[in-house]
Amino acid sequence: MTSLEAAARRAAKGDGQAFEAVCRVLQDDVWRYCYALVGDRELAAEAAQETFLRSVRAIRRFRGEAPVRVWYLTLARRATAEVLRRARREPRVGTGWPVEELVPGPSVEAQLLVEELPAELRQAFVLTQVLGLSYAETAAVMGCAVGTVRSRVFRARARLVAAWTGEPSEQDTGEDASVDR
Amino acid sequence: MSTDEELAGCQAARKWLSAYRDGEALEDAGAARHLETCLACGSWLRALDGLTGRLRLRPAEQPDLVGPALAAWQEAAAGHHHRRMAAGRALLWAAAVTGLMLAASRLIGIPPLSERISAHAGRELAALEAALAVGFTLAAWRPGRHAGGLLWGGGDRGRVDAAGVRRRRADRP
Repeated sequence: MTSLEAAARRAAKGDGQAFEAVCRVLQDDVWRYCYALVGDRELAAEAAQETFLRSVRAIRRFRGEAPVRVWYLTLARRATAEVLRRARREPRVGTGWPVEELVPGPSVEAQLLVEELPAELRQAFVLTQVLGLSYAETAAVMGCAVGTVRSRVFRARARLVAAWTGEPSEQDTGEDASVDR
Repeated sequence: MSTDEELAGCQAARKWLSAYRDGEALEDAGAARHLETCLACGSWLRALDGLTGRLRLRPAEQPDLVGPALAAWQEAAAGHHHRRMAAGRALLWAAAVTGLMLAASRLIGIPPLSERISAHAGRELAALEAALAVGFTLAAWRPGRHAGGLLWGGGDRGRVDAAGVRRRRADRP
């Protein structure tokens, strides 16, 4: 059991210091994921805040069935959905890592390509490539099959390469059903 | 091999590579060989590598997420403590009322049926129970200041009860 998992279990028993430690470790991931979901800084901040506020009560029910990071990101997905419902607006595109300095250059250009990805592909890409989750963990967060995650990550890569090189993306059929399980 | 078949081969090899690089696919000699020999896939692979290198960006500053969460945690913890205190005080009030009723019943001459004691001992017990009830009342009113007094009162009541038991045993034939 990692120290993060152990801290989460202590937090579940009411240890405030352990709860703080868990929040500090996971706040970056939750923030990136929320930003990737909504593509709007203010909404992402609201969603991330909502995630941690919900976790104050929800962590009491944490029993370690899933890794605590997956547990928090799942909570973030639900909180973001609620925030979006409240805002009564469609999610706009965005990336999981807002740039620190918006200076012209290849990095920003690459990032803008990610912003153009459809929401489902962007989520899968951010969870696996930016947050480093496994496909199984990503599937748990997104509520889909592992094969779907595999397909979405590949389609995201194919689209990015096509956009980067200016070639059409002949690989993307747009269907999750075509995945290899 | 037709163009469609070539494209299908390219797509299968790239899909395998995508998962393999993430540690989510096993070795596939056929796909690996295709990627080594196919010019289009080689070009695709170089573009992917170049793109991946450029996507390693640092995140911008994020809002403080921990502070408000900790404040909510402390608030919830305080609420939990408050509810426990409220439950404890309700119990103390109930004990105080019960004690006063017991004291009053002894004074007017209707002691509990299980006890057969003299009138003098009854008045002593009534006084003690009244004092204990006052202690419960004070503890319920201001738990932080008066709760300690209950230890003394409870101990004294216990001593009296123990003495009563010893007396009854001694009176048995």
